[in-house]
Amino acid sequence: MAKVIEMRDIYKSFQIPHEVHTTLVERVLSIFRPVSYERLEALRGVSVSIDEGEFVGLIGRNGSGKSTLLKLMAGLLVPDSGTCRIRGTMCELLELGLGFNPELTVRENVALYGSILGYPKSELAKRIEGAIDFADLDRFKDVKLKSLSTGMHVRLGFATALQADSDILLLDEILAVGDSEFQGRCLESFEEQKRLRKTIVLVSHDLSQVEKFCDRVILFDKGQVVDSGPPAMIISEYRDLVSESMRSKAAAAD
Amino acid sequence: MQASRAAAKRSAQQTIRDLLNPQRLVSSIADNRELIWQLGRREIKERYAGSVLGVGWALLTPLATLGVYTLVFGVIFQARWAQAETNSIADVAIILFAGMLAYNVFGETVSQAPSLITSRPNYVKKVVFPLEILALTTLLGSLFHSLMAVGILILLNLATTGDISDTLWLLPLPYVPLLAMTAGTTWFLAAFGVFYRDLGNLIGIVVQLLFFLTPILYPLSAVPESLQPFVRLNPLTSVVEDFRRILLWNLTPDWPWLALSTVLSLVFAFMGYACFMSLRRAFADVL
Repeated sequence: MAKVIEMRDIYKSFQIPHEVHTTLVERVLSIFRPVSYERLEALRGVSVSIDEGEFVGLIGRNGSGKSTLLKLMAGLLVPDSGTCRIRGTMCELLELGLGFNPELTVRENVALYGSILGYPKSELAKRIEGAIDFADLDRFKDVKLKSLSTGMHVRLGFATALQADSDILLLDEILAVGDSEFQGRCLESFEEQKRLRKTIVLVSHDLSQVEKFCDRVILFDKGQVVDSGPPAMIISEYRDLVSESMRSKAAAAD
Repeated sequence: MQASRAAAKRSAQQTIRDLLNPQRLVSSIADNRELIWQLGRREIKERYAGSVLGVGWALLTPLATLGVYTLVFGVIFQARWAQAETNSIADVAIILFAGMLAYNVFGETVSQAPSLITSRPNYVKKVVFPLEILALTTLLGSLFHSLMAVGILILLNLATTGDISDTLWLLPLPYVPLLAMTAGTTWFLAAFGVFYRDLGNLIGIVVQLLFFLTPILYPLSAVPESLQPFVRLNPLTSVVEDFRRILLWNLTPDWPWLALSTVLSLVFAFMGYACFMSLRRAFADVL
């Protein structure tokens, strides 16, 4: 089967300065002091390949590197070393905020994000309506974005991303916020995407949903891939990992 | 349909030598023309969104400036201008205004440049976006303002002299070095602004100083002979002079200087673009 995402031996680290100098005096003094950095190794030799039409879930504890990997796939970050190969068009929906402008109306925001995502001009109006309709925000389409609730915001983001009709969809924590009706609609659209042989990569902490939607789950820990396989198996592995670390922490506390 | 995004992705993985190829810039603009246009329009709309007068501000702002200039330089200082026919108060104000509207394209855009990227972290961290076009959309906003001002100027000139400059059709020519120069500076500043937040403060001073160092409030001929070469070094000098020549005095641009500043500012624009593109891959790590 054709591989749409192939990442080989990816390393990515961030340098975070230890102290932030905010006043002028501190800043001037800091010139004479060596700056110390916290070196955070977000990914240490990760290799992942994803087939066309696969629905893959990435799970792991906070800071295990899932979201960093997703950003590398999207091309938003550049790896320190390793290769990253993507085939096909891609659309990413990372975290809640999006590139949306709170001062513009819902419709204007969708139009803006749509043109960033490359909606064809001839279909722009139709797709904007489609997105607003899917997000069930018809009533609010001329309301400023800042007046929407967090859940509506995410719904709108997902609907807009879906309308981009790209081959690969990267989703970071989008299911957690919507209500059950919207989640039901997401499920339907995921089925639809699967039928169209689209590839979806999903980062989530909601294990029951990962189990329900994904064909395959990849477990991350401390910047490395621990295991990859069928959802039920990997999720129980993840639960073991978490409880083990809780036990060892409790033991250390004693 | 995904041309712009593909281009953004491609550009994130370029070597510097690749980037210096002018073709890259041209194809980036061509790929993203629809998006540039959309965002440029949005930029203008956003600036006036929610205000009662709306786009009326774009007319009111230059008119107010013109009023102040007339008062200060025409009435109080009673400035005189060698080339002006009558040297009436209105004449002087219009001359100053012509220089100012050219400079403002540069000043307005460049002032926003250091925060161009830092104020839009979402465009860096959450979507794949051709960041290089932000400089152009901001430029489009300033261009819009300057065209409004040109409109006012032509009407005022018509009202005072009853005449429209014969060489008006040459006006696009000095716009070329002006826009290229501005775009290049904006790319440099936007890229370095991500890493050095000090630039935001610094550039406020520089834009103000450069305003007085460019022959806007005085003709180039008023500068002492020995200092003129230094004033000429400023590429905006010939642009400002040409704006006045074309808009007010029925003259053709100063061709040799126009050619030189066009070539130099285009080279500068390409360098700014290359610098921006080679630094942009580090943006997401810093923001």
